[in-house]
This record gives sequence, C-alpha cells and structure tokens, in this order.
Amino acid sequence: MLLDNDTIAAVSTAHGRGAIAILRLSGPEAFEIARRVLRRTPQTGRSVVLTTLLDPDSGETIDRVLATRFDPPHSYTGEPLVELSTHGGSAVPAAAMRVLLQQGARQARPGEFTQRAFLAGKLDLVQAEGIAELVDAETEAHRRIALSQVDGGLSRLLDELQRQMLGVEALLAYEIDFPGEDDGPLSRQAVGESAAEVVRVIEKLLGTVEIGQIAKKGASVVIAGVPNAGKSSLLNALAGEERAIVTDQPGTTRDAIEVVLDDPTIPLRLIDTAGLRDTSDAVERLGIEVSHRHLFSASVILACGENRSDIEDALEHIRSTGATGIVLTVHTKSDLSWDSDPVPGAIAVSARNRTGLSELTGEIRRAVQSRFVHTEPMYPVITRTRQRMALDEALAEMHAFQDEWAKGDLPPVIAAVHVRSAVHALNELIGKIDTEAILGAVFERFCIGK
Amino acid sequence: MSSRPIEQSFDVLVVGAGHAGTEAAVLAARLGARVGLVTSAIETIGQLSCNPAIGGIAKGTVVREVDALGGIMARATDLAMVQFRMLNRGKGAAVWSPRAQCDRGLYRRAVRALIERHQLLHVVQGTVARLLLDPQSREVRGVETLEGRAFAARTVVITSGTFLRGRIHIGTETRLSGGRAGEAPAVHLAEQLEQAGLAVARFKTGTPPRIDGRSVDFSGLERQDSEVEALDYSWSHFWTTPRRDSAGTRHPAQIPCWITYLEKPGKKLIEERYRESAMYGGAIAARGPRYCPSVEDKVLRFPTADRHQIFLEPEGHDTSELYVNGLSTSLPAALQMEVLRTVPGLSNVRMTRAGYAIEYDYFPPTQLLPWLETRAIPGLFLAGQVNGTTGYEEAAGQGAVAGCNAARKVLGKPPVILGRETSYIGVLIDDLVSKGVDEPYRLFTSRSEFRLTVRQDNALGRLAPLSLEIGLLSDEEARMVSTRLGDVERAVRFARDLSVSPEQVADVLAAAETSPVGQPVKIIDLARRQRVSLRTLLDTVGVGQELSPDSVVTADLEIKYAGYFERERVHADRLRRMGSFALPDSLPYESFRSLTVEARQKLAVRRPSSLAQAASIPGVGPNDLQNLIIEVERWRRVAASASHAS
Repeated sequence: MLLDNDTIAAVSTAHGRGAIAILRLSGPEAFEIARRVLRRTPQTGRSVVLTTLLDPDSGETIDRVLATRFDPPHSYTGEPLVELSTHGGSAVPAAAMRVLLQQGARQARPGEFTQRAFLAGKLDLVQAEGIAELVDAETEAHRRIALSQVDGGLSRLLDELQRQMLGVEALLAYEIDFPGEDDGPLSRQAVGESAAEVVRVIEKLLGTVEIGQIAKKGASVVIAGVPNAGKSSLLNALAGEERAIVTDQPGTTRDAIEVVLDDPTIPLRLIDTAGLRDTSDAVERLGIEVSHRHLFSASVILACGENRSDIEDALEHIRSTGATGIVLTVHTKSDLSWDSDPVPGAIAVSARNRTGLSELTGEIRRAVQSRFVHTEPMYPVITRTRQRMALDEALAEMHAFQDEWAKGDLPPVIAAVHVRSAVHALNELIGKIDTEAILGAVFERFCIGK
Repeated sequence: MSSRPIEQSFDVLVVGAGHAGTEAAVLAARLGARVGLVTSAIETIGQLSCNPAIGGIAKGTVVREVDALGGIMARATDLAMVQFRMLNRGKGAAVWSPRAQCDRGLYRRAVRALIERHQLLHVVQGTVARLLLDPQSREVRGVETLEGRAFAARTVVITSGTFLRGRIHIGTETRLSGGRAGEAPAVHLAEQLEQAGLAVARFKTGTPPRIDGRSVDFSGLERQDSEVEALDYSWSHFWTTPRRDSAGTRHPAQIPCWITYLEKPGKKLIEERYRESAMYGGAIAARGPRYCPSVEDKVLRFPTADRHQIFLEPEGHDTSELYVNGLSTSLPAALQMEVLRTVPGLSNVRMTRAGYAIEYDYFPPTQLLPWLETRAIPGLFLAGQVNGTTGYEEAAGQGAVAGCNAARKVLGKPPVILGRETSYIGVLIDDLVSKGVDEPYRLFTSRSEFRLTVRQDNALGRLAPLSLEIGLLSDEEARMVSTRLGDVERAVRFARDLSVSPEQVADVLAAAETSPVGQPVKIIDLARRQRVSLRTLLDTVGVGQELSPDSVVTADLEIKYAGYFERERVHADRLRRMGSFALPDSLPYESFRSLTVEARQKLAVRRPSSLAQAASIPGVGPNDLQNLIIEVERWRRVAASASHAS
C-alpha cells in the first residue's frame, strides 16, 4: 500500500549463483535492526564496515558481510538505509533475509524502494517510470532507453518543453494583460513562431514512440510467402544466427510463430506466418487471417519465394492486405536455384548453407532505421502509454491553437485556452506551472507602460 | 483593556478610510452592523493617493464586482470621472476593461457623501494608537486613539495602507516619516501588532512627480480623448439620476490625457546618475513591484528600448496640475526636474510635487484565514495594502470581503469566502492567503484561470445572487438587480426568435469583413460570427433598447464562445468540489508519507482550509492532491476509532 511507513528489506541483486548478493534495508528502524544483527555497525553516513551478520536470537553466525550506512536524506529512498553485501548463491541471502524479517523488517514489494525514492522527491515520476522499465526490460535496446529515463534525459527534455510552452503563454499573457492602447500590439508572428517551436518538439518526441515500441518488443518483421516457400527454415536459420528469444505461442500451429533477435539498438521480432493462398479450408483461413493482421502492423515484410512467380504472388498478397511496412524481397533456397537472380533486387539466402543471412538481417535493420524520422543517438524515447497520451493531447491542443491563431478571428484570450489545455496535459506528466512563473517571464521580456 | 472610559460601542470598527476601509465600513453597515470608521484626517477620506485612475485590465472587473456587492467605488467613479476608456476594444468584448480618470476632489467628495448615506456608519477622526485586547482570550475588544479616545468594538478591520511605519524617500539624502506625502505615519499600532504575534515585513512603492499643466507645451503631444461618455461603472441607482447638469451629478465634463515619451537624453541622464536614487543608492532595501516599476528600473532593465511611454493625466477640473504616469522615481528632486525637462513638451515644465518612494510595513497574508481574519488575534481583520497588495481596486475588493465578514462574525453567521471561479476578488484573496506575496501583489487577467467566464460585463450576474442571499442589497436594489439579470435571457431570446433580411445586415456584415447572406437568417447565427456584435444586430431590427448594455454584451459572448466557456465551467465545477473538501487545521502533514517531502513541508506551513487551496500552493502537485484525499480519509477513520476507543 502506498502509505506504509515501516521498515522494508529485500535482496536487491538477481537470483542465481553470483559472487555476492546485496540486501537493502530501508525505513525508520533500519539502523536499529542493523545494530541488532551486526557485530559492528557503520557509525556515520556513507561509511562502510566489514563485520559479521548474526542471528541475535540464536547467536548463530550467518555470514561475513560488508555493511554500508546511508543517512537520510542522502540515501536512495531518502530514509535511513543500510546495504549489506553478503556472499552470493541462494542460501546465504535467504538466511540473511530471514534474520532481517525476524527483527521486524517487512519483505519489500516489487518497486517499493523506488516508490519511496519517488515519494521522498528523489526522483520525478518520469524517472521512477524509467526504473520500472529498467527492471522489466527484456531487450538491450529497451534497457538503454530506460536507463536514459532514469538519468533524467526525458525529464530534462520535458522540462525544456514546458519552459517553451511557458514562453508561448507568457507572450499571450502579455497580450491579455496589457491593453494595446497603452503598450502597442504584440507581433502575431512572434506568438506563431514560438507555438510552432513547441509543436516541433512534441512531434519529434512523439516520433520516438515507434522507436520505444521497437526497443521494447522488437521491430516486427513478418515472413510472408506462399506455402513451402521456405519461411520456417528461414526463421530457424535467422534464429540460430543471432541470440534469439523464442516466445511461447499458445494455440494451434495456425498461429504465428515469433522469435526475437536481440540487439543494442534494433531488436527484431521475426514472425513466421501461415502460407498465403486462397483456400476454402476454414481452419487454414483462420491462420491466414492471423497472417493478415501481422502483415498489417509489420514494420518490415519479407516477401519470400524460391522463384519469380512465388515472390510475385507473395507481393500481390501483401499489397492486398493494405500493409504499410517496408517490403524486402527474399529469394529463398538459393542453393537449389539455377537462376541466380529471379527477381531484381531480391536478397538471396540459403537456410541450408547458411548464406545471405547476415546480409538479410543487415538489410532489415537498415529498413527499420529508415522508418525513424530522428536518429540522434542520445535523444530520449517515449516508452509509456501515459507519456504518449499526454503528448498526443498536448499536440492536438497546440494544433488547434495554431489553426485559430493563423485564422486570426478568435481573440487571444480565447485562443489561449488551447495553450492552457496543452500545458495541463503536460502537467500531468511532470508537475505544475504556476501563474507567477508566467508573469515572471512577461516582466523579464517586456517593459510595461501605463 | 483601556484605562479610559469607552466613548461609544460599535459592532465593527474600521481603522483607515481609504479604498479598503470605506468599502469595509459600507458593507458592514449594509449588513446592519453599527460601524465606526476611524481616520486620522476626515478630509482625506477617499483620497486617490497615487494616480487619479480607477480600473484598467482586471482591476476594472474588480470595481464592478465590488459594485455588485453593494460597494461604493464604481458609484464614486461615476460621479468623478473626467475621462473614460474601455480598454481592449480591438481585442473583443471578452477582454474589455473599463478605466476612468477621476477628478481627485470630486472623488473624495463622492466617497464621503456615499458613506454618509448609511445611518449606521459613524466617522471618527483620530489616529489609532493601539488595539484593546481581552487579556484572557486575546480577542479584539476595541481601540484607543492618540487623542485619548477609546471605542469598544466586537471586530476590528485594519486598513492602514502604507501608513504603518511609513518612510518617504526622495533621493538618498531626504528621508521623512509619513504615510503619504504630508501625512504622519502610524508607528504605535505597528509595534503593538508585531508584539501581539503578527509577522511583519517591508515593501516599497513609489509615485511620480506632478507638474503644472500651464507649463506644458501640448502642441507636439498625442491627445487621448475620453472614449465613451455614456458608460456607467455602476449598475446602481445612478441610472435614474441625470448626467452632468450640476456640480453634484455624475459624469462631469471630460478632459483628455496626453501621451509623451522619455527619450534618449532622459534615459542617458538616469543611466549616469541612477545611484542617487533612494532605491539604487541603498537607502531602501525593501522589495518593490515588477510592474509599475520606477523609471530607474525601466531604464536599467530595458537598456535597448528606444523610449518609454509617459501619460500626462489630469488631476481635476479645478486645477491644471498633471500626474506624470510612467515616471515613478525616488531620484533627488533636482534631478527629477532635469529628467522631466528632457521630455518632449516639458522643456519649460514646472514641477509642483516631487516623486517619492515609500517604504512601509505589511503583514504577510499567509497569516490570514480566507475571509481575511487573522489567525493570531480572533476578531481582527486586515484588508488592503497592509496585506502586501498594491492598487486601489485590490484594496477595495479586500475591504468589501473583510467588512462583510467582520459584520457576519458579530451577527453569529459563518464567513463568506469568494471562490476563484466566482470573481477576481476570489483569485486575489486566494492567492494572498494560500501563496503569500514576495512583492506588492497586483491583479492581472492571466492570474485567473477563469478569465473567460469572470468578466466585467457579468459581475452583477456572478455576485448579486450572493449579495441578495446575505442581505447586502436593499429591496429597491434587489428589484433592479432582478430586472437587469433577466435582460441577458431576453437578449438571447431576441437573438433566437428574430430573423434579419440580407438587406438589413449587408452593411453590418461588410463592416465586420464577413461574408454577406443570401436569405433571411436568425440573429443568433450571425452573432456567432467574430466581430459581428449582437448589439448592432438588435439595433438593425430595432429591439432591445431597454436592455442594459452589459447584459447584451454578456449574451453576445455566451453565444459566440459557448464551447470555450463550457470548458471553464467544467473546470470551475471541479474546483468547487475541491473547495468543499475541507482540510482541518490540525492535520499532521509531516506524517503523510504518500506526499512528496516538499508538499508536506509547504502544507504544514500554509495549512490550507480546502483541497482547492492546497492545489494552488506551488510545490503541491496533482499526485499529492490525490494522495492527500486518501491520507485525510484515513486520518479521519483513525481519529474516529481512537475517540471511539477512549
């Protein structure tokens, strides 16, 4: 529960056979519990001692540990916090936890240390979300993006965006607060330009949503083609080529089969689909419908075939689904073919001989990358639905404002409602703007007359 | 308590008869309280101590709000205005702001006459030396004056403006004690209040020099004439009295303002010698306002501006003296003269009075409850510049609320709090008590999140229902109000029911640069177009002459911007709900761990009385508010079960 104020403990390192494990103990009783279970305790903030962890009830020695003390507010959670480094494995940390719980600590729930850090004002909401993502990240790319959120990269950018919106509001506040009769009119153009700048930033950020999705789940790459085009062999060959995560797919063989090829920048989610052909078989038709759905949302589609007419059939089928992904033509089973170039531009692969595979993944990644508008490596990425929805709303309001401003019919005080709404949307993400701040910006920029 | 005999007993005693004090006294009297109004000089009741103008952006709306509550500022202005402008005509009726230049003498006379209409309101000349406090409860019991007079009172409203330990500066050498030029400060009262537990801080403000109009060459200056002579600031009984036929009637003859500029030579002079001013020379340490800055501030902060606008404003009919608006300064008098003579039109000017800066005590307003009573001394109310505001209108708005609540306390009734969604007065007081001030506070349109629905034209509709409910208006006034409020609906009905022919509106549409119509259309459909006013449309068919001008404007805006207004009303409803979620004064904020540390600290200090107020405190975020609701509910349950157990 959100409102708890007790002392919590957890093993903070991953389960498994590591050399060491770290336990965290945080809350009002942390130092007291540490005093009871340690032979010697660190006396000042950020000091470290090598000592013995005991079960005070039985006097039994648990382990030799390294204990670090963090005084509030300079700890991760902002509370009294002790970190114990024990030996790794599963038995020692478990015994250490047992002792801590016996002495009054409570097993921490997932994310509870971070939640306390957030409540203590050590992190903003976006950073806290980044930590949640970091913990959940399954791909290397997702981990990197989450890390940059924790570092505050996205927060800084959102702060900057909020500052720019405040600039637009300040211009409008000037227009609203000071009569044209006395101080002269404000250039409409200046307002329009600063609004356009805000729109550019929001659009750029929203442009990263797809990158975020790809980083989290992998870019969806659908392998399509007529039955027996060699799709499954291709999938298996590609999966064997790189580190692959095979996803369990419940259901029948008619469902698509997915494999994720992990990668620091662009993980790929390969999807093998049922063969594309017209059929009256009800079950098979179901499978084809699943294929169509995947095709429709694919970033990249591999149109596979062992000869020209198969590839052209596949292309025809893909077109008929209305798919918008980039289509690459793949000449499969190239080891069997006498014709070295059945379709101009097709990438020749042989699953059996393992040829052409790295060329193909290279082409796929280039195709995925070409879909991104922005390729600045350090630019923050939107990963949460909450973030995207707030930005979508802010963008819609800014567009509405731009429309009205361009028309010039609505009085500024009315048109400003849209900017206010955009600011409200962003506030949901990162906290409030005070009207004092807007007035501050006004008086910095303008010399007010009467 | 007093050792002197009590001369007279009042329900409400108001200290100071400026713009806050007079409104406080009048509203308390309207509620049936016996009111004493104590001023150190009866001649200065209703003095316009700074510029001779009432209204302006946001402020003009406050004037009309005070008027809707039964106050006198709008009525006095109608009697004394020598120039009127509806500001922002070019930006649409949603942001119109009335502003009037007044004849200072006529304004004083008008205020005094309006006060004396109230039989329950007695004026007393005297300087209040100290409050009489109950030795046990520390509640207010009355006041004692320097002249040795003692008065009993059940509540006291202090509206002493800049008089508390006032100190006037002209340059770095000249320093005078005083509340206004030529008047003595109040020192004893300030000391006693500080001892009684009120925190005190210092602000400064300034005024410009005044000049002899006969020494001005107007030939090259831009003239600003009165824009409309026909406006009434007040909705009230002035309707039935004639205009301008004798000295006592409203709207005297109009006088223009003149516009000139401080140009390069004057700016250079100030750049070179600004250190001789009291502010920059170090004589004053207190903070002044960013807006209404001194000319020294303007020159230093905007070095690239070519020039700064100056308005020469008439002081009144019986004098040629002009107020040099825009040239507020604390430079030495001789240097002020030099600067003035660089200004076009003023090369041979004679300065009648030097500008000066004034430093004064104020009581940081976070010590106040939202009805302007102090937490430290029950029964003591503070209003106006003593709360760290600037401006006549801001003072009047607070005076109205303080006077009303001082009387209600005596009558045993709960306090009246104006919400932010109801009025600029509500925004003002909410900002003061929940956020505090770090420079003299002035209202701006942008301070209100309800600036579309809280306007000058609908002030009566917003506040008159409250005035009627709590008994601020007489029966005759109540009848007038109900007629005027019905006018809005009548105007909308005309617009819905009546059609106009293409010929009838051809000129109107052409003037508004909007497309003509091919067949008869309903007035309401044309009124939705920008720049096409409902008033003009009604005139083309010759109806609605009897409707009040304000109500036609209100109807017009409601037709044009219905969708936008709706957004604000949704927001206002939410705020009202938040306002009704009470936060007890005794909440243990430090222990509310689901709030951020910053929010806990801010709330513990400010102790807001409702969730709406908590929301307006910077540093308290939306997540904090959600969690605060949960914490308060939990706290209530724990408190309830604890009291049950014992």
